[in-house]
Amino acid sequence: MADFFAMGGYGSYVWGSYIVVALVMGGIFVWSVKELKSRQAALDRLKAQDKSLESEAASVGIAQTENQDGGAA
Amino acid sequence: MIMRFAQPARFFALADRIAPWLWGLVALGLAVGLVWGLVIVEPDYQQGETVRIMYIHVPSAWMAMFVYASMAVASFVALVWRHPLAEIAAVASAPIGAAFTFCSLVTGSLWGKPMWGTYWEWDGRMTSVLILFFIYLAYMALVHAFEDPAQGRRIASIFALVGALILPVIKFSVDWWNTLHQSSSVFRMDGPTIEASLLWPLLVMGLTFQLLYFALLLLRMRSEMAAVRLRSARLALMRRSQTNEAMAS
Repeated sequence: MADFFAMGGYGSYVWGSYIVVALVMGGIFVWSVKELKSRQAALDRLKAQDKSLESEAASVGIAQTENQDGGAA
Repeated sequence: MIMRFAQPARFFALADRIAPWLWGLVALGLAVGLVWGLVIVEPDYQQGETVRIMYIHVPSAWMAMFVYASMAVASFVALVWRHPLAEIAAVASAPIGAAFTFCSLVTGSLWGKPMWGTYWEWDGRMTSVLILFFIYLAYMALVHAFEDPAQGRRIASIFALVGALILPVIKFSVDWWNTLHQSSSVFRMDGPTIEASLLWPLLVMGLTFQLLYFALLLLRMRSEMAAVRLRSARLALMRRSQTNEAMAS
């Protein structure tokens, strides 16, 4: 087992690489989930504040970007 | 307009159903790939145990380029057909691509020290991948640099297309500047020159990283979509309160 962690004396390089990748990819996952949750929560708050947004916000969503694009809305 | 909205709605409904399977496959791929690469594969007769860094370094580098290529295609679709999902896909891809690029640079550096005697050299491959990393960062900065988000996304799309010129430079850098980084040993015209026992776990990890990209992409696209909706809801509320004020006065 100790041999496995030592990696023939290259342990710090091998495990260092794996740890960096795990932290970076894990980090982007956690960050993305948090970002999604906070945006969703803000959207829900706005909808609770104004019931009429319920349908409007959903439909405006894409139409809005199209208009701004100068697309054929 | 309704049809166009129906597409993202249908897309996200489908994405929600696919996502759990994708994450399951990523977990399975990691379990198989890590045990194979870290335990089963014999140490290399020249590189010893450091050869195991290959199982994350090479897939990260593949994904650094693949994600950028996808981003460029999505940007092209966004510019030509103005498809809202394409724009969202491009914007959502950028941080994932930057993360893979960062991983390939760091793991390459940690592999380079024991094998080449240096963490860094201004070699063609390393320099061009570093430039790719900066292109990702510049793209992300551009998207948010404008008052009008639609304008930011459009200008960033054009930038992404121009930036795609870096991809062939990275690919052929090992042939043009034959300095330190080895040349391609998997995707070759004459077939892979890497030993099959090493190649299989590498392909498992490559496929796993690919699936990881798709899983993260769906998650980040959801988040970008929420941002678009949030902005529209805020605009709608603002417009409404302005109308109310106008009527009151």
